[in-house]
Amino acid sequence: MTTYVLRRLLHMIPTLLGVILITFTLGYYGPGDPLQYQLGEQIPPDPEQLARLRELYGLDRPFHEQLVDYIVGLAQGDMGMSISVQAKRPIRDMLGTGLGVSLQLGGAAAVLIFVIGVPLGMLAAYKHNSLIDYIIVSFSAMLPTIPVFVLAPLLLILAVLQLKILPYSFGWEGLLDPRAILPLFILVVGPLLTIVRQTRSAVLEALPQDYVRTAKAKGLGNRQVMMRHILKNALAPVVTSMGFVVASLLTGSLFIESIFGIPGFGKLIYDGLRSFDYPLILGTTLVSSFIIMASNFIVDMIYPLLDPRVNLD
Amino acid sequence: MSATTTDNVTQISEEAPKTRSLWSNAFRRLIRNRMSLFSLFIVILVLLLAIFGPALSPYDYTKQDIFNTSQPPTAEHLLGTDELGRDILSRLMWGARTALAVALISQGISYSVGAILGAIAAYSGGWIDSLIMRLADIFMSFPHLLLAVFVSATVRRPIADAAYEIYRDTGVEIFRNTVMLDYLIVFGALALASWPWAARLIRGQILSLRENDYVLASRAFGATPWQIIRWHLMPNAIGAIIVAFTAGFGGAMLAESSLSYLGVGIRPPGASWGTMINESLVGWRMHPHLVAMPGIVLAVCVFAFNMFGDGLNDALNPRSSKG
Amino acid sequence: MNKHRLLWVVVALLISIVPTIAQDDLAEEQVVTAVMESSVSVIHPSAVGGGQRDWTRVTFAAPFVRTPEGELEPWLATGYEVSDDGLEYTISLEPEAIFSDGTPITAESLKEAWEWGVKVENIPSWGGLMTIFEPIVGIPEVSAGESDDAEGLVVVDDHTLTIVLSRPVIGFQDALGSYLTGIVKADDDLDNPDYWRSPTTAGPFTLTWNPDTDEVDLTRNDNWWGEPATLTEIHYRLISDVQTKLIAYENDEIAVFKDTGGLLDQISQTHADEMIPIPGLGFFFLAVSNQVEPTTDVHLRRALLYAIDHETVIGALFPNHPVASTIVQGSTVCYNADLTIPYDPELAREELAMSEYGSAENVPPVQVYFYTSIDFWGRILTAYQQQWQENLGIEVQLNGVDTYDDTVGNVYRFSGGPTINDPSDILTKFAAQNGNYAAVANYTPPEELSALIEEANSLPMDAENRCDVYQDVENQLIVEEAAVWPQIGVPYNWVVKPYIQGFETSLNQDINWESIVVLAN
Repeated sequence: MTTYVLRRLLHMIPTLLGVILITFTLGYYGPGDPLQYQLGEQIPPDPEQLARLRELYGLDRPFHEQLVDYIVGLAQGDMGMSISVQAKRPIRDMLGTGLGVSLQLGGAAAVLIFVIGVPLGMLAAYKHNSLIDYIIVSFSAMLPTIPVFVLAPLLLILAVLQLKILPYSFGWEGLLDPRAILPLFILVVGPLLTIVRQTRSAVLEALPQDYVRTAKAKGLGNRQVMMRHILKNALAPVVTSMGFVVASLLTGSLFIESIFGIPGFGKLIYDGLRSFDYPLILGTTLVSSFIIMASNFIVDMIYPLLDPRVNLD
Repeated sequence: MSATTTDNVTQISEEAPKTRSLWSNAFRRLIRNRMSLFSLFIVILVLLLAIFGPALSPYDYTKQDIFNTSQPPTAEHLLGTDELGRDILSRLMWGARTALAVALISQGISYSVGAILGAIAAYSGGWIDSLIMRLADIFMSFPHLLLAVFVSATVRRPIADAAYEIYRDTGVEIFRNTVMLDYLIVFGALALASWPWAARLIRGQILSLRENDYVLASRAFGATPWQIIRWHLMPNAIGAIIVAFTAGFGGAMLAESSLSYLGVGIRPPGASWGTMINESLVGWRMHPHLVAMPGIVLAVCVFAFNMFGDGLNDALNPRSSKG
Repeated sequence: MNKHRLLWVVVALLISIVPTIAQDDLAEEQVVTAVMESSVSVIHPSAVGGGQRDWTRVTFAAPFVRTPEGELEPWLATGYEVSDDGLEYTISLEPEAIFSDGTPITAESLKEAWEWGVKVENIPSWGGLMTIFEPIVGIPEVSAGESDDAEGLVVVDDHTLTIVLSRPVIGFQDALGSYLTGIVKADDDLDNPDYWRSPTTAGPFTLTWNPDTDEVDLTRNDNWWGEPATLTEIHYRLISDVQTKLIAYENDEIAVFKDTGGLLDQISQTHADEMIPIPGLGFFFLAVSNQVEPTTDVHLRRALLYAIDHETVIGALFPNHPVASTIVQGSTVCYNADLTIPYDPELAREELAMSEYGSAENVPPVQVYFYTSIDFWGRILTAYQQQWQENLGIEVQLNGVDTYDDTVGNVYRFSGGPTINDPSDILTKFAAQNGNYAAVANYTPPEELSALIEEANSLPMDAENRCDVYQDVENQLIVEEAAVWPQIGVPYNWVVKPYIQGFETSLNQDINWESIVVLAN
C-alpha cells in the first residue's frame, strides 16, 4: 500500500513535467504575444518598447533557456510574473487568491452534485422505466446540453430582471451570499447527468443480486435494503466519476466565473487565454493538471474501500 | 482494469456476449426503450440532414443579403435570416453536417489513435506500455478544453501553409479548401484532448480479454497477434468501444461551440451550430431567435446523442438494463 | 369648513413640495458604483489605458483637465505659456496643491513623478507616457535607464516648471491634459507593488485597490485643496462580460458603465436617453502587410481593396456606426471629405490580372487576423470574404485569434485615431519608415511616401499647401498603396442612470466625479 502510494506520487512528477513541456511549446510557438495585450484596447505597440519589454520579461531568450528557468523557478515555488492581466504580479499570489474562491465554489458544487445526483439516480433506478425515471433522466440530461455561455445570461435575465427572485447579477461575497446561487446552479447541472446515470445503472445492476434478495428475505423493508446494501454497492462507480466531475467543474468555472464576475481560478484561466498572458496560462494549466491528477489519485485511494474486489497492488 | 476510468463504460460486462444474435438482440433492446427510440429517430434525422441537407436547403448557407439582416421568420426564409442576412434554415441544415463531422471525425481520430496506441501498449507491455500510458496520463491531466484551445490556436497557421504547399505542388483542390481544412484542425484538436480515454479503454479491453481461454487456445495453435485481434478481440470488445465512441458525440459538439466562443472554433464561412450561437450572442436581447434556433437544435441533438449512447449501453450491456 | 380648508392647504403645500424634492433633494448616500471591463493591470497613470483612465482624473491629477469641448482647464496647474519657437512650455502650479497625505505638490514633484513614469519598466508596450513625452529633452535617456535626470524638465521655482522640447511638437500642450501625465508621489516607495493598494493621490479622491478581488474604491480626499466633492465613495467593480454588464445596470447594481461599441445597437434602442457620448470616435481600420506573400504585390492589395464595398457593407450591417473612409477624421484639420475608396470589381479584376499572380488560382490564401472580442470584425470580414470570393475568386482565411506576429498575417485590424487636432501624428505613424503602426502591420512604405510625409512635417503650420500634402500622403496610403483600409467609426458612450446629475466626460474618456451628485431615487 505505502509503496503504491509513493509510486503514484512519484509518477506525478514526470507527468507534470510533460504538461509543462507541452504548454510551454504551444505557448512559445503559438500566435499570441502577451505584450500586445497590456492595454485593454487596441493601440499597436511601439516596436522599440516592445523589444525592451521582451528583454525585461525574458521573452527574448531561446526556448530551452526559458523552459529550464521556469522549471528551476517552479522548484523554488516561483511561477513567474503576470504580464498583461495584472502586470508584474506574482502568478503564485494570483493563483492563491483565485483558488481560494474557486475551491469554495467548486467544493460546494461537488458536494451538491453528489448530494443531489445520488438520490436522484437511486430514485430513478427504483422507479425504473416509470414517468419519474424519465423526468429525472431527461431533466439531468437536458440542462447541460445548453452551452454555459448561453445558459448563464439566460438565467440571469430570467432570475434577476424578469422574476426578480435574485437581487444581484454579479460578484462574489462568499458561498452564503445569494450571488453564489446562479453560478453554483450552472456548475452543478453540468456533470449532474453523469452521476445520476452512474448511480442509476449501478443500482439497477445491484437490485436483482443475491444479497439484495437475501436482505429482503430477511425481512428488511424496501427502504432499508436500498440504503444499506444498494447504496454501498452503487457508491463505487459514482466515486470513480469524481475525476470527471472535477475536470468538468474546472472547465465550467472558466466561463461561469468570467460571466458572473467572480475573481476565481476559472477567471484567471479565461483571462490568461484571452490576453495570452503566457506565465499565467502556464500557471493555471499546471495547477489544473495537478488538481485533476490529485483527484484521480484520491479516487484510486478510496475505490478499494468501497469495492473489495479491487486491490491495490 | 484501472479504477480511474471515468466513463460509464466501466460497467460494461467483461464477458461480452458471444452469439451472432448480439446485434439483433441489442437492436431490439434499444428500440424497446422509448427514450432510446426517440434519440435514434433524432440521430437518423441528423444523419439524413448531414448527407442530404445541403442539397435540400433552400439557399446556399453562405449566401449573404446584407440588406435583410436579422429578419424574423417569413415565407421566404422559414426561420428568418441571421445578422448577415443568411438563411438560418439553410445554415442549420449545413450545421448538421458540421455537427456530425465533429462527432464522427473527432471521435474517429481519437479512437484510431487510441486503438493503435492502446493495442501497442497492451501487447508490448514493459517500458513501451509505461511510456504510452504515461503519455496518456499527461494528456488526461490537461483540462480538456484548454488543450484544444491551445492546439487549435497554435497549429492553424502552419497547417494552412503546409496544405497550400501541397496544393501548389499537386493541384489537388481539396488542399485549397479552407473550410475543410479548418474543420480538420478543430476536430484534430478535440481528438488530441480525448484520445487517452480511448487508448485506456482499448488497452483495458485487450488486457482483460487476452487472458481468456479461447484467446490462449488460439495462441497455442499459433495464431498471429493480428489474427487474434481480428477473430477474438474485435468482436468481443467492439460493444464497449461503440458505446464509448457514441457517448463522446454530444460532448464533442458542445466542445466545438466552446472553442467558437473562445475564438478558435470553426471559422467563417464555415457554419456550425456553435458558431451560429456565438455570432448572435452579442445582439441576442434584440434578436433572441438568432440564438434560440441554433441553441435548441444543438441542445436537442446533444441530448439525443447522449440518450442514444445511454440506450446503446443498456442494449449492449443487458445486465444493467434488467428490471 | 375650517378643517376642509386646512386639508386643502396641506394638499396644496404637498403638491408644491413634491417637484422640489424630486429635483433638488440629494440621495442620503452619495455613493456610486461603476464598472471596469478588465482586471486592473497597473494603477499608476503613466501606463494607464482602457478602463482605468476614467478615475485617473480625480486621483492622480494631471496639470490640466479637458472640457467636453476639448479645451484645457486648470487642474493642478493654473496656466501655461509657450515660447515663440514652440520649444519651451512653462506651467504654473496651483500654490495650494497638496497630496492626499498633506505634503505640498511642487514643480519638483511633477518632475520626479514623470521621470519615474517614463522608465521602461513603468510603461506598457504601446508606450504609455512615452508616447507624448518622448520629445522632451533628456526623457528618452531617462526612459532607457541611461540617466536619472531629464534636463528638459526644469524646476524654476516651487510652483513653476519649464518643459523643454527637442523639437517643436504640434499640440504638445494637450499632453498636459492627458491622464498619462497624472501625478504620483515619487518620494513614496513606488516600486513596491503593494504600495499601489493605497497610493498617495493628488486629486479630490483617494484610491484603494484590492488586486485579489479586482476591486477599486475611491474615497473623498479630505486633504484636497479645491472644492470638496459631494460624492463620498465611488466603487469600481469588474464585469468583463458585456451582457452581464447591461443586466447589472438594468438591475440597478451599477449606475455607470462605458460602452465601446459592443452594446451600441442594443442601448441605442433601449437606453437612448441615458447615453452620454464620449467626444472623439474610436476609429477602426485594417492595415495590410507588404512583407508577407501574397500582399507583397501592390496590385493584389489594390485588387483586394477595390473588390470590397465597405461603405455599403458597414452602412447596412451597422446603421448606428459611421463609415470611415479616411485616416484623418472629420473633427480633425485637413480632413479630406472628397476621398473615396473605389468599389469597382472590374477594376479589381484588372489589378489582379496585373499582379504577379495573374489569376486567383495562383494566389495563396490571404490571412486576416482579427479580434473576436470586438464583435463587428467577424461580421464585416465575413461579408468581405464573400465579396472577395465573388468578385475575385480569392480565398481569404479569417483568424479570430489576434496576433501581431509579423511573419504570418497579411491583414491586421487596428484601432487608433489622431490624439491631437492635426493630421501629422497619425499619418506619420503609417507613412514614415519607422512609424509605429506601419512597423506593427509589417508594412514598409515606399521611399517616396516617406519623403513626402517628412516634407509635410517640415512645413510651417501656416503653409498654404500643408493640408494638400497631408491629403496626398493619406490618398497614397489608402488608394494607391492599398495599405490602410479605413473601416468604421465606433462611438463610445457612457450609460448613466438618470439619478446621476452633473455627469461630464471628455476626449480622455474620464468622468468629472468631483462635481457629480446622486439624486434621491
